[in-house]
Amino acid sequence: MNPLSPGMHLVLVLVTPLVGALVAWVLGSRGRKAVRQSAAVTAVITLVAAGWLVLRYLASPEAAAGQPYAVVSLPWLVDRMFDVRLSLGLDGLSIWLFGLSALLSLTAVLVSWEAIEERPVGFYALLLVLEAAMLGVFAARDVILFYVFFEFTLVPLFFLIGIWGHDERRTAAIKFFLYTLAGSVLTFLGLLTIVLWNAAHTGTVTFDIDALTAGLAAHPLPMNAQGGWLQWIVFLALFAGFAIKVPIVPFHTWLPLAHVEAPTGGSVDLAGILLKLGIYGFLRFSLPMLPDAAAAAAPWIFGLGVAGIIYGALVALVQTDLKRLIAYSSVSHMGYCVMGLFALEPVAVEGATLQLVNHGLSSAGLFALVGMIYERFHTRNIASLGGIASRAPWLAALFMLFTFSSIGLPGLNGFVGEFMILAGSFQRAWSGVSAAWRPAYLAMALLAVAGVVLGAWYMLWAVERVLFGPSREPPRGGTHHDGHAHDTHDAHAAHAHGSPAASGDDLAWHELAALLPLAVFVFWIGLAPATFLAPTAGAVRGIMQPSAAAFAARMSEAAGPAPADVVALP
Amino acid sequence: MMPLLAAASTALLQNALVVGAILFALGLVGILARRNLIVMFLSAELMLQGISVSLVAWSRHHGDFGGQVLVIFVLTVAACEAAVALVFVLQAFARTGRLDAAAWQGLREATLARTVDHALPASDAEPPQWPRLSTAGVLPPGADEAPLEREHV
Amino acid sequence: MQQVSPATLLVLVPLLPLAGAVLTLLLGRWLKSRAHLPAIAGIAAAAAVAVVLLVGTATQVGRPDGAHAEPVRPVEMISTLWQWATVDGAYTPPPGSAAAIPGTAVGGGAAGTSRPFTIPVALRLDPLTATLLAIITCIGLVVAIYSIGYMHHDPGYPRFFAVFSLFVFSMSMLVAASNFLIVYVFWEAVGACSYLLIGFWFRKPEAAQAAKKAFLVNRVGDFGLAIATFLLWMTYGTLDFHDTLSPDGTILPGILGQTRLADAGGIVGGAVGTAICLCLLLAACGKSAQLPLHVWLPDAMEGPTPASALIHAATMVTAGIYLVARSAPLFMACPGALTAVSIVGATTALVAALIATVQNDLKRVLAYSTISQLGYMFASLGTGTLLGFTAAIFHLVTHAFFKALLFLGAGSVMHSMGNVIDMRRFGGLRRIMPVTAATFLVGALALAGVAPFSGFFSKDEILASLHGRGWPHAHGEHHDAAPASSHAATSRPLHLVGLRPTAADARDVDALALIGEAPNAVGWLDGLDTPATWQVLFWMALVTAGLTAFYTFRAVFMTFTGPTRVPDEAGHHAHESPPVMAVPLMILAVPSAIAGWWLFSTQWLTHFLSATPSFTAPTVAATAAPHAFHMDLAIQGSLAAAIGIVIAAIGHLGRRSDGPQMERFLGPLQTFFANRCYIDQLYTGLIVRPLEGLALVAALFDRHVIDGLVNTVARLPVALGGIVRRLQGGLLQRYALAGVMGVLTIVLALAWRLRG
Repeated sequence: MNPLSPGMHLVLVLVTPLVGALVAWVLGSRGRKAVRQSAAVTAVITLVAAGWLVLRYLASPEAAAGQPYAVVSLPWLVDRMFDVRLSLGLDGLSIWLFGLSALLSLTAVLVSWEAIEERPVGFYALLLVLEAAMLGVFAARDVILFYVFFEFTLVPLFFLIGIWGHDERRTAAIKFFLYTLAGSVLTFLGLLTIVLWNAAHTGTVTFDIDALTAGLAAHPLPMNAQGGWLQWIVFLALFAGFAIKVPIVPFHTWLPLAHVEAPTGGSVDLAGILLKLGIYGFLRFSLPMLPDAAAAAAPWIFGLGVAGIIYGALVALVQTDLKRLIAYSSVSHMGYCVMGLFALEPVAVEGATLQLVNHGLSSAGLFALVGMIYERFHTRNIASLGGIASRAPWLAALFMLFTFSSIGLPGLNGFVGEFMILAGSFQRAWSGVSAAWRPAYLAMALLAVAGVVLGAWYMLWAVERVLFGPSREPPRGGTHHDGHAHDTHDAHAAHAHGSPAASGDDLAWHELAALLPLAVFVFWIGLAPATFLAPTAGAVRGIMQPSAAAFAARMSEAAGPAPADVVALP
Repeated sequence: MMPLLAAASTALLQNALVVGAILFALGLVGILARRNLIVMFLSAELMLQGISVSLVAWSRHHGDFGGQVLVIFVLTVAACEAAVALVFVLQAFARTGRLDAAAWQGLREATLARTVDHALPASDAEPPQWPRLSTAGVLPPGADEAPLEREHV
Repeated sequence: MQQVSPATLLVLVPLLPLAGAVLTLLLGRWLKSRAHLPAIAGIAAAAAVAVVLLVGTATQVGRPDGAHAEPVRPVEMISTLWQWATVDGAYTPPPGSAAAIPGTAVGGGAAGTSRPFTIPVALRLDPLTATLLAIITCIGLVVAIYSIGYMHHDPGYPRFFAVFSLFVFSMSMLVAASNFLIVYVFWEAVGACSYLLIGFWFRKPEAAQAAKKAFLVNRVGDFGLAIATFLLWMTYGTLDFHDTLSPDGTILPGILGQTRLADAGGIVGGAVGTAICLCLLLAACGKSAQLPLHVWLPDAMEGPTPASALIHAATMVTAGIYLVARSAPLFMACPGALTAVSIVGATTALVAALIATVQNDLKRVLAYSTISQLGYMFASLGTGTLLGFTAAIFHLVTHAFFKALLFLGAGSVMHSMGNVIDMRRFGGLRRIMPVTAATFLVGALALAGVAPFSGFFSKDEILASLHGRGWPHAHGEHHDAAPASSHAATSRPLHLVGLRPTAADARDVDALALIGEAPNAVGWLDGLDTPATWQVLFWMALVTAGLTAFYTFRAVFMTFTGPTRVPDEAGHHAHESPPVMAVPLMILAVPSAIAGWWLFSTQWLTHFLSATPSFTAPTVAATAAPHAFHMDLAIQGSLAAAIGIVIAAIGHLGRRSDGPQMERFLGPLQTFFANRCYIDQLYTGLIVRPLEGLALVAALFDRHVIDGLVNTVARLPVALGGIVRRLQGGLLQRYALAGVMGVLTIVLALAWRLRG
């Protein structure tokens, strides 16, 4: 195989982090510095290779034609008819998330630079394995392969939280693992049902996602009593896994705990990529394969999204822990994605897809910054922090930037997705639902817009307390001991007293290197979102089309024959 | 061809089966009701013999040697098994000084209390002095500790 | 130079300050005390370009010809920079609905064709934009020069100029943008700059809080703008102001494009139109600090004074005026919303003036004065006549000059008094600071509306526009010139002024059907549009004029007359400000004194502005009235001002400024006004605290109910195991018994099964 063929390129990108993990392991005896340097080099190589692949994709004829790019298909578990393949490829839906995974992995390595002192080998090796899993899940084109990667993202993060986390790391790790696993087991059953149904109706056992989508379009799962509401059941099974992963309120309680306890690098990957898997799953499977059930559930999930926006914002408003506050802000922001997705309008769904990337950038940046604040002051308690802007101006400036991005300030990335989601939702509420649904939809859309005000409230409150005001010296002597029996933190506290970070509190080079690329994209997406929207538009449109059509059909059914106010979707 | 063993009458089969069943039932009751390990072991043997009788009877009934061959085989195995089992019983007695099956409740859930039904009457006989072999090496820890509960059954 | 196209020049206006901001940010550490250079160079260049554009546009409009027989041709130029976002086929207008493109004969955009969601970053140049660009950049330049002296030695010197320059960029973009979404973008961007400048001295907790408050209150207004934008998108299927040419060669009419404006029924009125206008009004209230969202502006005085002068007096807060003026045709279709604009404006003007009378903080007096004057402009906009719109912009221009002057004067006082701004602690400063005192007096005369200073003329026009609606027959010449409403036939009684049923009514019904109950509310709002209402509004405005004169001169007398007193904090600073600060004051004093007279007597501004596309809409243009000087109104206004000044003189002239102040006149009312009518407390009690309580409840709910539920589910298997584990007694016989029973059960079951 030509080593420069796109497919080989993709395989190399996936394998690089694994090789890097191996190298980090081998270098383990040479000490922390060697390990982290090798991890950083691996992450940089992966990022460059992935970025190059993204550029190749954008320039390729496949991208213009809406075809999958860099397709590799090798036999894996093959036994006569049973044909599970190592099938990889990228398309418009996955391309940015793929790139984002590579970018955030570098961020995760760099923010752990000083923070991880104990057992660095395991930490960086797991971080790189996690990167491979994240890249893989977006590149998988086979159901089983997707599921393997989907689950495999859990394992490294389980150990990252459980070993390098804070006080309650064990509880958090177990809760995170079991909760998400419980949901995704059901998802697996749902996916198997889809495969078997397809096999029964087309005569071929295929696990290929595209083939399954086509097969289910030709032979939809029954959505009536005769068929046992099979489509509903499968949809709910998929929903279980994906909703927990997003997380959609009320399945979110694992998230704040996991974030608060996770080491910074883990938080960055968790917020930046893993939360996106749920929405990605909905887009990949639920919407195109189960359109009738998706359309039937859309108003309710739309409502859950709006509830999540308001609820997450309200809970964030009273948090005392900065990291927990940002975790709840993630809940709130993922509510926008859910809402946009299930508005089933082109503008909203494209906005939601873009918002995945946006939230990945801003929340990863914020979590990284909280980690840096914690490294300096050994507390995340908002009440004991203050005046960081005068001690660490660059840190404060970047914190402001990511805050503005997070609250959707126009000109930055967060605004684009949010605005498109809300515009699409309004469009749906105004002219895309039957008269009976319109008041409810309008009310939900209005509430979601009000959520923007709440979002600014809690974030600016935190900024005011943490960055502004008179410079405050958080108690350093004893407080960091009380909660942190773990040796890492004691060792680190001792280190911080004499380290440059303690005297000059501003960002070190590796921290700047971690954040500046994110900042660049924050501006880029904000100022020229068309660059990022265009490649995804075709894929997203194709994916949502069946569900949107089913939704329109349901609504016109409810409104009687041929009502004037139902939009016939393109 | 004339079978080597002519098929017997149904009456013989019935009688033999009844005997087998009685033996089996006696053994079962013995296993369930008695707590003395040796008695339980004997009961198990009894059940085995009950089955063997029925096997022989059926063998005879069908005019097939297979069943009887199997019984011989079972007897052989039972003999070996008896040897092994008795070693365990002896060892159990050596550990606890008891032959009570209830002395061995270690498989129960940690949170549950030990089952103690009515205690057996205390023996008025002097506790026997067991011969002790001189140790060849260091005395294993705990070897000279007092027996767990009762000296004998 | 003549080879440079106007489009390029237009781009330069925002671009140069942006470049200045970026350079200042990058080179700030290196430039240190010269960090103002890139910013000022950028703004100065932008100001020059803006003036060139203004002159160019004015040439295109031509001189006023005196007779109004010939309607003014609209003048506009669009320059599209890049496509911000595009989603193809995003929206298909339902056939026959109000969202369908009006005047289907015009373009191929027949109802039923899907519409792309296209947001171009397009800049426009028209008289309104040219005027505001010139104001923003010129005043920005003067204030920036002043800041060299004022911000001297501040550790955040480069940061100040970077953000300042960024603000000039954002504000220029805001008034030059030709798309509601881009307007929204810069609407928030100026808010962010304002946030950064209010919180400039972030070590002060008050400044940090004020910044947050300003941003949040503005966010509430932005909420309105967002909703308005969505509604506009749903109603018109585009967000562009201007007409665009679609690829198939047909014209896609923009919301305020000439195609649509030429069509009498092009603008949607009724419930939807009113909803849009009210949302726009909410947005304007947020940005322009009108009731009920005015609470952030007085607190915003925590920022550096030059920022207050430029952002919170001269430019940013007038964005609301700009938005309403720009959307004039939309408002004209909804008389109820127009009335609401005036009611909000006049009420704000009065309330803010009352509060201003008891403030002792010089900057706060000016802040409330700004709120009050902005209210004036809103009252004028709401009249819905060409005179009202142009008068509002006229007042905006003069106000920008004299209010910036007053703020800079206050800054000069503050600078020399060692950052003391409480008027009770100093007095008689005219002897120490003659330049500041003289220029401040000019500004005060302009603000108080004393002839012939600039404020007098613009205020006179506003009063005239209000008077015209209150007593339509007294202004006989524009008898039938009141707003021609596309909505009139359905919900307005026939005896009201200016009814003119139009072709839009059929669409209107459909629009009404979209919002079930709203028509009643709209009808009620429209019902407010009676001469009686306007008469009340006129009297409110007149009283406000008197109050304005009073509080202005109270401030002048307290600060500059009486025995000379200087607070201890002043130290050796108590002297006239350096030339770098004094010269800008003198520069601003000139237009504050004469701009009104010049612009009024030549009618230049009025004529110029009336060529703005929004004002050439038939509904607006039809209300044009001959230019006139209303002697009776001028006398009434001057009388009010004179009374105010006299009362202020009686109370304060020559007295020690730390004596008992307004208490002796107002008694308990003084406490009421001094506490800002308790509006802040009201908001805290009614909105902030309940929301915080709700948040607390939500957090508890989250921890105990939702997470509790999850944990309960997690405990279920353990509980189940607790039941089953009892069977594991460890007793051999029981296990054996269980086995036997099991075998027995199976045997019995089999026997049962095989029985028959």
